[in-house]
Amino acid sequence: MNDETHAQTSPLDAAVQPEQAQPEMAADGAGPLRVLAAAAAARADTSFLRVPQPARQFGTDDSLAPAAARLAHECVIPTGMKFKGTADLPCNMRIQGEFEGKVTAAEGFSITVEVAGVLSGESHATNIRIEGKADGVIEANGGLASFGAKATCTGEVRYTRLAIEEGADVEASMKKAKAAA
Amino acid sequence: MMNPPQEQNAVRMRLVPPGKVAGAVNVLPAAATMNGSLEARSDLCIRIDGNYTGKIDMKVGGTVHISVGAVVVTDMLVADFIYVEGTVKDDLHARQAVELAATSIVHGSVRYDKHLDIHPGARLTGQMNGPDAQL
Repeated sequence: MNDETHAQTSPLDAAVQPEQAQPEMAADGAGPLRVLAAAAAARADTSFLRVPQPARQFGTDDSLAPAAARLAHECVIPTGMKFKGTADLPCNMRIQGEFEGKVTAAEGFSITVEVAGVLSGESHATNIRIEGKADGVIEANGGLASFGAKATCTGEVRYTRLAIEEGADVEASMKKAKAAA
Repeated sequence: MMNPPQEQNAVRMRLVPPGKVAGAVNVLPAAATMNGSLEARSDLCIRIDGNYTGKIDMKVGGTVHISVGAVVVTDMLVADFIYVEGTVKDDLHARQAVELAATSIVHGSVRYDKHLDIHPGARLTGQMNGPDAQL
């Protein structure tokens, strides 16, 4: 784009600087190797699992990014996909495919199982909406557990508020929890 | 609808067709954690922004986009296309192409059956197996 961009992103910078900083190391036999090692040490950060800084080369204006991120901030298991395991989410969840295991959404968020969706296992969220199939422990403490007309549900449902549409096939033990104080 | 982050990706990507990740389903948003196994039987494109541990098996087709900030620890990640901007540990296998972006950190083995692209700035430690690995 311009000279500034090139200067920022040149991958060779990191390798060159340590060599200039320690010219005496290159004098003995293992010189080149040591220079390489020094270069590696110089750029080795705390741990492997660090979060990399995004190299924004085209358009550094991120002003629109937060809005887009918020829109996209939803966990979706699409149709045709099956997940087995545990999920810990600071966001809403939408299940169109299959989910087996334990899902916990943070306070204030909802889990929606769409018509084609299947949820089995444990689910915890403030609001839970079932339009497809659900089995296991469904816990919507402090919020609304609702079942659509085509829902099928077995297992155990804990709720503070409850809505069951006509036609829903709900055969579960129901337990009302008190609303959070 | 405008979606600036994906537009930026489209410009920066060199190998994986940008159309492959444009309609990605956000399976795991930032700060979310998942442990287990994901399996898909249809050609889907998924994006991972958060922390994922376990298998990802896209049995038919499939594109996996591991975006900036994502950390994936997997003993098996199989898809047609894999586009990495985040951090991945252990095995990747792309039936078509692997692209490691400038921000990517990959530890482990990478297998690609057709094409490979590593951007300057990518950090890769491990074994590479290309189409001619059996020679």
